[in-house]
Amino acid sequence: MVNGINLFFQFLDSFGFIVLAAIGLAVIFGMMGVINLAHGELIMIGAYGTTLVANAGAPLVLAMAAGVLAAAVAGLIIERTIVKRLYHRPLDSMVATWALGLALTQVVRIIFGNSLSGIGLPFGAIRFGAFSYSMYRTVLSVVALALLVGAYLVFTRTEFGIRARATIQDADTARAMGVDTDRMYTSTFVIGCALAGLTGALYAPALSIVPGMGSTFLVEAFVAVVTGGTSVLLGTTLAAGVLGSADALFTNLYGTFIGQVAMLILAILILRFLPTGLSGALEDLRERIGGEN
Amino acid sequence: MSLNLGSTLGITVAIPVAVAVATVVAFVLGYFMFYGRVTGVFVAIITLVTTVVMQTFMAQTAGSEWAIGDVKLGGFNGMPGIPNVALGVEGVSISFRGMTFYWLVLVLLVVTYLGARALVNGRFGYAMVGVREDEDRIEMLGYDVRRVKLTVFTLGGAISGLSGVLYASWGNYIDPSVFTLTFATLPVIWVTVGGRESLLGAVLATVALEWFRQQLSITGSEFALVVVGLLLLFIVLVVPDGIVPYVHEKGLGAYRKYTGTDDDRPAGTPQEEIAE
Repeated sequence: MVNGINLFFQFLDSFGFIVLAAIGLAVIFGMMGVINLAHGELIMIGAYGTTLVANAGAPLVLAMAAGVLAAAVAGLIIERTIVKRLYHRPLDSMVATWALGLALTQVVRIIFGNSLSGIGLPFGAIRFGAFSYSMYRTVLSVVALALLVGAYLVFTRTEFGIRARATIQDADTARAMGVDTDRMYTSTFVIGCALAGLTGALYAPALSIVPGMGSTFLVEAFVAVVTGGTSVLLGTTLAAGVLGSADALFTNLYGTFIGQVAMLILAILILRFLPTGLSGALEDLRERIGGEN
Repeated sequence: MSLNLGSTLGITVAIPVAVAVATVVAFVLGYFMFYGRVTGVFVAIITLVTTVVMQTFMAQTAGSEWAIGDVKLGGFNGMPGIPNVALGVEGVSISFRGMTFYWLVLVLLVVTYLGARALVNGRFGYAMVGVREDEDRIEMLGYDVRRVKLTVFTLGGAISGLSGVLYASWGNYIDPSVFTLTFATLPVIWVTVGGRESLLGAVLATVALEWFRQQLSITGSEFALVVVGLLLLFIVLVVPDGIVPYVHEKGLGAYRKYTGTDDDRPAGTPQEEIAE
């Protein structure tokens, strides 16, 4: 039985999860064309940072800030030492970041063991009728929305955003106009990693903290980025909306696994029929309507 | 697959059936990717996501409703009691285990290697290399890039299917851990380290790395994956073409220095046969 309110909360949850899982990856991919396969591990670093600091007795917000900082620092080191050398070899950068992720997971397992004791879920539950839904996870979907709006404002309204977009569109011209494109790449990568860390920090209370936890986010993150297409923020929003609906509906009807399969099948169909992704298709549509006027 | 077909003849039949299933799956996935003009990193992502979803699927098949014939898929517990590889009909048959299994695998490896070698050196091999080097140009020359890619992908699926058969009957057991990302991407490491444009490199690197990994696991070290990961990182950064082509190149250079010629081609060969 599909309950409308329950379905709505499920959708919010899926939407928030997909946006948060994908946004760090999407920013890096959209700006640099680099698929960061260590994305899951950065989320894991964020979660570990948060959990460790929180278990040491710090308030949750401070712990989350520590998690974000840890991921950002890790991102800075990764960019300076590895990704920087592989800008023109996207497939190699994928293999390299994946190798890094493999090593990171194992190092964390050696240092901290197979799991950390988690931190409790803040807030309570929302109750309606026979159902209840975690308040915290609902708050997360609001945070996801706020992040999208914030990222949109940063990329359209600030000096940094204009330079960043100039670098994506035409790196050579941007350089000629005095933009330090190397620095733009580095800061974009660090921002992407910090966003991944934030995702880890936000989900730290809601998940079990294990070294392989990053892979929980991989399917949603990659599917969203691939189906979103070239225009990163719009693409992620659309993909999260479309895939989140499919996920929520099928999860509600047939369980979590079928929800994931539905999402994957939908993604493959989208790629087969809309090769430029959801954002590309929307732009084509807008141009066609604009052309008729 | 072979659990349902208990007899020796059954096992003989099960092997091609298992390979065929892998081939068909690869074909369908490849069709959607390559005929959807999916390229580069997206191909990698889709195959990666498919692996994760397969793992999720196999891991939740613990219930008794998930069964093929009499055999339960077993979820995380996997499927025990997979028989050894056997060929022939009842009465006249060979069962492979221990040393004989080793020889079987070795023979299959040599046959597969030679087959792949013949393929790469043949007409289709030129088309494959052409697609790798420059898709647009090979398309202008009248080749269907999508079909070449799909063929190669499907062939790769068939070979993987064979290796899956051997792996399952080697341990007489299979569980969803074969669908984990680490397991699925180990071949990527072997091929990258050995040299992705070299068949010999892939074989040598696989043997060397797996031997190394076994040694580390025997000594109980947890650092196997760390070392393998860092090695891969090092290769990608320093020797992007892989070790075997690198050694080949260096060896050729030393040979030329030794013989005092800069060119190992016959005299009179134009210096630049193909203008870039």
